[in-house]
Amino acid sequence: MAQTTLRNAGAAKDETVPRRWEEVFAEYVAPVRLTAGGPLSGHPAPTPAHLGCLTLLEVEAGPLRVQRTPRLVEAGPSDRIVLALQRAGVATLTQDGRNTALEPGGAAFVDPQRPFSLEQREDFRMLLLSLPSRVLGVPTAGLSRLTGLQIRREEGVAAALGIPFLDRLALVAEQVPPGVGETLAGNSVEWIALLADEALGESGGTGGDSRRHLAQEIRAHIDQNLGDADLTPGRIAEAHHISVRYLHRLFEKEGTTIGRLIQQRRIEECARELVRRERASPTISAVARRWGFQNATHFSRAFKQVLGVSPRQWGLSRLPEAEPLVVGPLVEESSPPRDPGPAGGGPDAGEGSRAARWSSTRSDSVQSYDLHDRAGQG
Amino acid sequence: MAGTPSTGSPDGPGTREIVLCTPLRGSLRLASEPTGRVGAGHLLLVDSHRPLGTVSAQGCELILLRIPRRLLPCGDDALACSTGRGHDGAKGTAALLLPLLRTLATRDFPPGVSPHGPTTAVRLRNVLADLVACLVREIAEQGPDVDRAGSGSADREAADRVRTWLNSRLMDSRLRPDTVAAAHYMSVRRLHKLFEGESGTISRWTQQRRLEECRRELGRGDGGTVMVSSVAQRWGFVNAAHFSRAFRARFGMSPRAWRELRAESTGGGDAVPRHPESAGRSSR
Repeated sequence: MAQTTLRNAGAAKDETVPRRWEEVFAEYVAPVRLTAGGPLSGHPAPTPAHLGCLTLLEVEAGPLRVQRTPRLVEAGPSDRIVLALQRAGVATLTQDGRNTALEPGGAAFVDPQRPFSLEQREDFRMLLLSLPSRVLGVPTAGLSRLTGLQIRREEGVAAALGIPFLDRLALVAEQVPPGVGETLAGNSVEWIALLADEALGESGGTGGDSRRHLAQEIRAHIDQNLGDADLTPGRIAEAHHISVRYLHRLFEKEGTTIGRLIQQRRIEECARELVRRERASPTISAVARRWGFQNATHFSRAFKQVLGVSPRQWGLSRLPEAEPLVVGPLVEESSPPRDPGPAGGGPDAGEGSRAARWSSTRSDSVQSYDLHDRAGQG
Repeated sequence: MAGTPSTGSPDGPGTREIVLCTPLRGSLRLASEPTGRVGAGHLLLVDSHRPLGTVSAQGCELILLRIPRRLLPCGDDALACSTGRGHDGAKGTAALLLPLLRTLATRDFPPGVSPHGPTTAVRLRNVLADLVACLVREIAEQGPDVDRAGSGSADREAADRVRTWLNSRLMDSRLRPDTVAAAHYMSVRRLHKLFEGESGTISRWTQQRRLEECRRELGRGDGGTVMVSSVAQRWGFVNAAHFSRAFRARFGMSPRAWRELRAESTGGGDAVPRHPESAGRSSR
């Protein structure tokens, strides 16, 4: 698999790319600029196979860059959406500000409605499935989140089943009569849609219910295991029978990362402990250690990042009033309130409360910080 | 050992099911087809309401995929000629189904595959049901009396070209025979002649295709968030009442009824077949 430098075609037409190649791409994908690492004449131009509204293009060649430039997009909008299945060789795909390697067995959505670059760096084989974008029915907003990402079989049930299915389709396409072909094409659209929904993190159109449910379960799991030094993304993923990659994507959609979430929760627990009105108040380093922070400096820095003040300041600024302050996320209704201590505000009396408020005498920077306060107070 | 595969179902006893069966190991012999064996690489389709007669199984580990008949978008005639016999899994739709079955049954997922929520399970079941219906259609169309429109290969090629062109433009409600003909540099008369054998006229063909696409989308099972009227409009139906009538006439139920049917869950495990060890042993 020789790696050759792709020649920079510049404005001039690349003469080693036969016209037929450009025509095929133009007609079944979109007008693109093709740059070859060597003469393509040794390889036949891809022959399209049609199945209902699907066009299948099996592409095999040496190093090749396929570019949908902004100028080409402007010159002629496209109404297709493409799923690329890489069979041999490694490619680099760039679209919508994302960049990914495309490896054998991997799939990626390519949207000719916006600029992209697909660069096969070596001898390759690839299957392109092209269909009318309207038939797939994923809105542009969704498509622009799907592009520039490699979908691998390990990522989900739809990928594990759908990618091999679509890969085999090319073989089967010519074995069936047209009516059956149309039905099969419809089924393929369903597989592609399932793939898209899974990659987007939706469970199937009901607003990502099962995704949210899973995220909820994982948050609960984290809360239950906060003190455990073993609480790593790998372990969490394993405990929920998902891949680490899926775990990261799940929380990316929630607007955070697993690591950040865990740390934030730990710091909240620390903060809670630091204001406990106990006779023997814990030392900052003891609290930090208990919650898995090895290093006082690291702890202080992270604490300040989350809560805006140093641990010491936090611990020091107790309210003059008797009522202890509850810090941290709202306690869920299902978690039973702890036994009240001695009458009138024992150390844990407040923890069953649903309020998460803090006084304005605290640091100004804390006032604006919302710790999952659903009531929106602060 | 003789008997028909167990027909117990989460729906209740007696629910008519179509069962797809393929051996992982060993083979089946049907008394009704004494010369044929259904081994690995073959598919047996069974209609739970049509007894198979005697089935001999030797050292068999079977994969069973059971789908309630009502969820299958295919006609009884097609079912009648495709069930009760084995089919070669090397080509066509069967070649797509077999690897799916094997992957599902042997849980041969790459490690770390995410579990699917209830909605995905329903969608997956529906996609598989559609694929089984496609297999049924393919088998039914294999009959010796299949006759494709057009007498010569030139006609057939022309018909294919028009079909391909149309299949990507079905959503366009402005499609008309004269514009289609013009796009292919032929007369409207020739166009109609090409479609004569299949479904009468090109208009009828187009409408039937659109109805099929609508049925596919309405049958997705993604929780009823899709509105019948918007699906119909998407596919070029201008008049909602006309759409409902045509849908019902073709498929025997209203668009809404189909959508609800396919949205329901049929109990845990749905389309995912039993582990091979428990399948095929229960024979009566």
